Amino acid sequence: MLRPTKILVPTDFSEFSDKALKQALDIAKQYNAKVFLFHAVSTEIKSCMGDACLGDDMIRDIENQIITRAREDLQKQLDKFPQSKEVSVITDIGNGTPYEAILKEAEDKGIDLIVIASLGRSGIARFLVGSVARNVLKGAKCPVLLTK
Amino acid sequence: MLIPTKILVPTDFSSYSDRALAQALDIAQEYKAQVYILHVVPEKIGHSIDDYGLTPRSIKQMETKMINGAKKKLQKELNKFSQVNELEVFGEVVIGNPSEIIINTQKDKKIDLIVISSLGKTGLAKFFLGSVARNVLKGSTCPVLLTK
Repeated sequence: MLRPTKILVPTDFSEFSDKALKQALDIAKQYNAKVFLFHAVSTEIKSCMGDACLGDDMIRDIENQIITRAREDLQKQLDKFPQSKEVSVITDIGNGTPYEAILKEAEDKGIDLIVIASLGRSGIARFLVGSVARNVLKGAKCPVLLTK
Repeated sequence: MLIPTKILVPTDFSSYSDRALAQALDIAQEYKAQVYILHVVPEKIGHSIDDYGLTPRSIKQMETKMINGAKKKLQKELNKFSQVNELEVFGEVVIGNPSEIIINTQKDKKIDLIVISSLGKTGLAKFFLGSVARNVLKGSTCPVLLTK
């Protein structure tokens, strides 16, 4: 029986993912489900460029900045939608290649529905499905709602 | 706002599409939506057997037979689900190219949600996305729920 309880919304803060988030919130409200708003960052920073290397402290600092920034962006995106107040929303940040991090998060959290936008930040044309969405559609073990 | 009112479920009578239908009926029940079940009989029998001396008339007869057979199967598929009696369910059989017909039906009938299984009759492996599902995901203008 299809009754979503935990909905994962991967976001890259693009307007496409805004739409996916909005639809996920609608669904969550209908089914009384929880929403996991998730952003994947890559904190693998190249420490050296030629001979110029960054110190460990500096790298840690940059990583922290990336994560803090992502947390702020997640909150900002949520604040765009008043419905998010009526639904229980959990924000989370993952590390690594976006689609891999998304699939891992889905398994770790026992997600039963993923809502993802067909295009993201690098969205080019209307009739295509972006690479992250495509890989999530292929690899997910739970149903995936592709929003347009 | 995402409130499905007309849900399209393409079926090829495989066990995969059985599951998509089950989920679509659950969603329809939740939102009191109509369900359109569509089976597409792949076209092109005509051209490939021209050399065997079939007349257009006998091709037409074959097509009619195929459509009637598919209609019976569609009814059988529907009979598997008791929820069908509580919902507005429409079945349709069309000849043509599956993904094209599905996308055209979505537009013509003003469908606002497609529920499709990731694999169909020729489903090979777990991590693939069948060609019909892939083309529907790309071409539809409404959200698509991909079931697993």
